[in-house]
Amino acid sequence: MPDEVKALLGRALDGEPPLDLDRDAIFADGRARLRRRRSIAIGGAAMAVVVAVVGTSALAGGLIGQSADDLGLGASASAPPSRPPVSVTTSKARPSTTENRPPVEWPRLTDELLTGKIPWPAEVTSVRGKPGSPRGFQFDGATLELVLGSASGERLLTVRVEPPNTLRMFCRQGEYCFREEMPTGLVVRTKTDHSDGRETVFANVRMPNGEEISLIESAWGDRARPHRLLPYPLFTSIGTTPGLRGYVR
Amino acid sequence: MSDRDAEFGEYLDSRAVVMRRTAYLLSGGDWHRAEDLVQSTLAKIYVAWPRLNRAGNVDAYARKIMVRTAIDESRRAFRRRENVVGDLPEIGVPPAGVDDAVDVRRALARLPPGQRAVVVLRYWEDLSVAETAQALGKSEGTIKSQASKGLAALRELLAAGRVALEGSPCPTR
Repeated sequence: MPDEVKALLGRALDGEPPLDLDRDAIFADGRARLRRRRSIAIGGAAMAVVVAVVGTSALAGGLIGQSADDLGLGASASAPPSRPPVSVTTSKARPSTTENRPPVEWPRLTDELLTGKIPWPAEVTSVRGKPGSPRGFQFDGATLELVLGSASGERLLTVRVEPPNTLRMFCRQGEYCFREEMPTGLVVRTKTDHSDGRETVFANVRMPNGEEISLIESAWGDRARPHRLLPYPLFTSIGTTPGLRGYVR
Repeated sequence: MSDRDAEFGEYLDSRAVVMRRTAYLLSGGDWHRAEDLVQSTLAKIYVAWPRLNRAGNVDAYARKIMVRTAIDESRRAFRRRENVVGDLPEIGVPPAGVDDAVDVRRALARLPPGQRAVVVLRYWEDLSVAETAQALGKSEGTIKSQASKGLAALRELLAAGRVALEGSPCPTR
């Protein structure tokens, strides 16, 4: 009986492809894990020394017995973390007279942005429609372009509603690509390109029903920030905003 | 090249194919996931290589790491590095007898990850109940019960016309 089961399992291996393991990547990954483990061990030992020294000093200096307020900890413990406010500006949508197709509006996204529901990272200091864009905070056709401001420069976020099941993203040498499949059937693919010292992030979000959204974050303008501003999970959050659903070409 | 690299490299070359087959069955029939699983298992082995090599239990450790990683990954969203390609792949022609293989893969994929791991370790890796229990960190009673349920579910799923193209995982009974 075990042999019978083994033969059955062996049938699943029919058509086995040639081995395609990246030997160098395994060594690199192993060495990186080893370095991390060693640095954690060293850090832990250093922390133990610091704790011991501080503890001894505290005992010697008579800190024990003083209240948190005396130590100046009260205010910082209760105050929420400070974060510069994100300014969100919108421009009025103008009715299009040149397009046959009516403009696609994304009112829910505007609501999300205005009410601060989208968790922009702390580095984002402003979100506005791209200057010169006729519709500012609304889709122009199937495309929305937002300029994200930060202390280190500006980035352009482009969001496009794509025809279902059309997006293809292939990875070339030097590009950093990931594919993420959620249990719900949502598929998110990201590709990060570092051409010309500038980072560009491409994200494809495919809903379980086949609807697809593409997002691109790139350097923009005279004060361009070369490096990525948004965390990868935020592309998924924006791409799955309910306001994008139900768009029909 | 250091001794660690040379010895580990020999182990990698000699075991990678076998490990990938086990990983393939553990992952429910996905060669890409199997390679990711083998890659991360081998990287973990590299870290502990001197100790494992001295103790002479590299294979047992590898199995334990691989099974636990497979079960952990099945519980969360699947994320992996995309393969780098220069040209678009051509469409291949499936080999003869592929239907049988596909049926077994689908049946395996529909087993709950824990049950699948028990079936693979007991009947593919030929581990005893005690060894399987040790690898999975479960009691021998649980292993016996899971093996029995897993086999029964496999038989049921493989019965003619019972493996659907797309289906929810087989419930744990």
